[in-house]
Amino acid sequence: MKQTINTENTQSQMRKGVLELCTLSVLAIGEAYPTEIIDQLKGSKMMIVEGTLYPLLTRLKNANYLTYRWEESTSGPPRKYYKLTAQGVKLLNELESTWDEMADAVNKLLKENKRK
Amino acid sequence: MNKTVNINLAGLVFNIEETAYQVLKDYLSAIKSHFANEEGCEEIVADIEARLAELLKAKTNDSKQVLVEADINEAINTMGKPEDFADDTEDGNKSFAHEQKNNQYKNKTRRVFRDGDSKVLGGVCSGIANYFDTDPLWIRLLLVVLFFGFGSGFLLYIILWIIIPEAKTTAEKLEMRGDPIDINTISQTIKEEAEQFKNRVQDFGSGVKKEYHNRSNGVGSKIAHLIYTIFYGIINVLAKIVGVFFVLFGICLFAALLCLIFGIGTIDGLSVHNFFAAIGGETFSFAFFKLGLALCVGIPLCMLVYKGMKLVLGIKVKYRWLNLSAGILWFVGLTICLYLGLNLLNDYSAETQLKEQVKMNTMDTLFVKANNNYPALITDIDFDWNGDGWLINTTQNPPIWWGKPQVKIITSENDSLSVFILKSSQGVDKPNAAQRAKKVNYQLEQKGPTLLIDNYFSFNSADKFRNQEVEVLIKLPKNKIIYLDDNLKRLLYDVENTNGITDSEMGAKYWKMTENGLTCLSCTKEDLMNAKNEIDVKDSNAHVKIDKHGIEVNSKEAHVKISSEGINIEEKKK
Repeated sequence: MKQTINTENTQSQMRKGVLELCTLSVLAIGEAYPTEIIDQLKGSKMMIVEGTLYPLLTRLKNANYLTYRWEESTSGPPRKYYKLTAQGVKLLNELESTWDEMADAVNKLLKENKRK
Repeated sequence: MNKTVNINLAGLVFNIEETAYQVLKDYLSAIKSHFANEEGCEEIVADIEARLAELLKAKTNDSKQVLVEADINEAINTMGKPEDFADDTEDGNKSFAHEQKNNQYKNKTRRVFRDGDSKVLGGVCSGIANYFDTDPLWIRLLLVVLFFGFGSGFLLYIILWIIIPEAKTTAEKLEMRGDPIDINTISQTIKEEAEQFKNRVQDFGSGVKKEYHNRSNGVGSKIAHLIYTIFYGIINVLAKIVGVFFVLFGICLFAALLCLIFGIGTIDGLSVHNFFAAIGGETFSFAFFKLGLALCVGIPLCMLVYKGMKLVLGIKVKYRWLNLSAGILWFVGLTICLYLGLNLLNDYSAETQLKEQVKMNTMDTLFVKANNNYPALITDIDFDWNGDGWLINTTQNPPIWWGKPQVKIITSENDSLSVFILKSSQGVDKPNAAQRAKKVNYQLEQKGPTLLIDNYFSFNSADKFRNQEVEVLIKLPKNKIIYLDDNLKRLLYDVENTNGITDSEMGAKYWKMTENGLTCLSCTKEDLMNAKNEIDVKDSNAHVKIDKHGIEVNSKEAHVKISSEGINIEEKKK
């Protein structure tokens, strides 16, 4: 049992790394509320549970990368619609280039080692 | 019907079943503690609650107003469980390297507990095994070895049982295994326990054991607990022994049943097939009867073996349909057997006797002798049915049954000698019985003054066994003398004689017929002494009775009684 937790942990660590980037990129299109964000992420095969997203959004908001507004809903409690701030856009761009660099490096390493 | 509670989740009101409420509550607490150290914790929790409320609202409508456990679980799955949250909180930081560091510290925080979840007796061995991270098997083996060393193992075990506490709380259990204690491992442990418990219900060896949780830690109650456990241990062993017995017994009887059904073996020497062929009737379906018998007797035997196996293996699983269907099949079998049995009995319900007179020439003294007509050279079967001996010749097909006739000698109403052959048989009705009686073969022959009677009658088993009987009735006029040959003694049946001599002793003697039966003419003193000690002679004038009570003479004129009470002479009215 302990072995699988370690593997799973590492895997989830990897996902965790790109979570902010993905979330920000979804919001780059326009504002959205959490469920919509999740659907978008799922659509691109990025699996994430709601419980992970909420704290992330809150953290980003607290750091002023996102803002939100309330919207009343007929089918339940009011919803938070998030959107990027100017700072958020900047962060998104930075993370995106970091990702490009990293992806390049990792792919190169993997290819080299496969030849053996 | 279940109890519900009203809750307020993110400003929405929900009606939720008590069990579901508990699940939801636990989930929300887990969420709260997960984010406890995080900045913006309240906001995150509020967001999650709001999302939950949204999900749950979607699950209710007019026809379904109450949230049940399934709803909560579905919502939780959508939201994700705390351990699934890939985020920056403390638990998420368990990288591989971090795990290794934790492992190094394991031994330092370990304590010895008794493992209550994987115990054979008291969990001492598994507890110790946990401390050393080994398989409990080795520890138990060690204990057994010690046990043989002057029983020190036994004492040691008892001492350890008393002094080592049992790991009860989840934290203690984690300590026992040396796992770090945090919310992840705790919830993990709880989940594992739930699984174990589920498995144990159907587990090997749980038998009749009851979970007896000892709340207090006093030595006295521990000893009581120990005695309790040993007691149930013994009961378990007994249950297994009884189970083994059931299984063996059931199997043996079942084998016997199979033999009967498949015609292996014999009933008192007669093969099963021939037996039923003769006993059965034209409408008797042997095959059907076998089926009925298999169900009626076989099913209880199968159940016996099955229950026995369950006891031995300690299986407690119950299949509801098993008992019911077994009962139904048994009942069907019983019905078949009863129906066929009653049908068969019906075939015996009527009895008819055919009387045939044999013409006799006159003679002075009648000599009666038995003629051995039975072809003894042919191998046969000695079959005892209802106490009457039958010989069955199975070399012929269908087999021939040979039975013994009875010879009866009574006083003739007139002056002439008459001999009758009486054949009787049973059947489904009188004509049917008469038909069978006719088919009985029996001969007697008169040769000069000698009456030669066959010592066996026979019938073909194709005509079926129906309690066929043959009687040779000799009506002898008074004062006529008859000689009974010695070879008749097996055939004589309750022949009245004034000397009280038994049938088997009546052979090889001359007899004279009187009003009261035969009187012995050639009996020796010895014969008379061996006779019954009773004489009961009655005629129109007097009645003489001599028996163990004494002598009693009753006539028109007087009554004399000599007994242990004394002599009593009574004169009657003239």
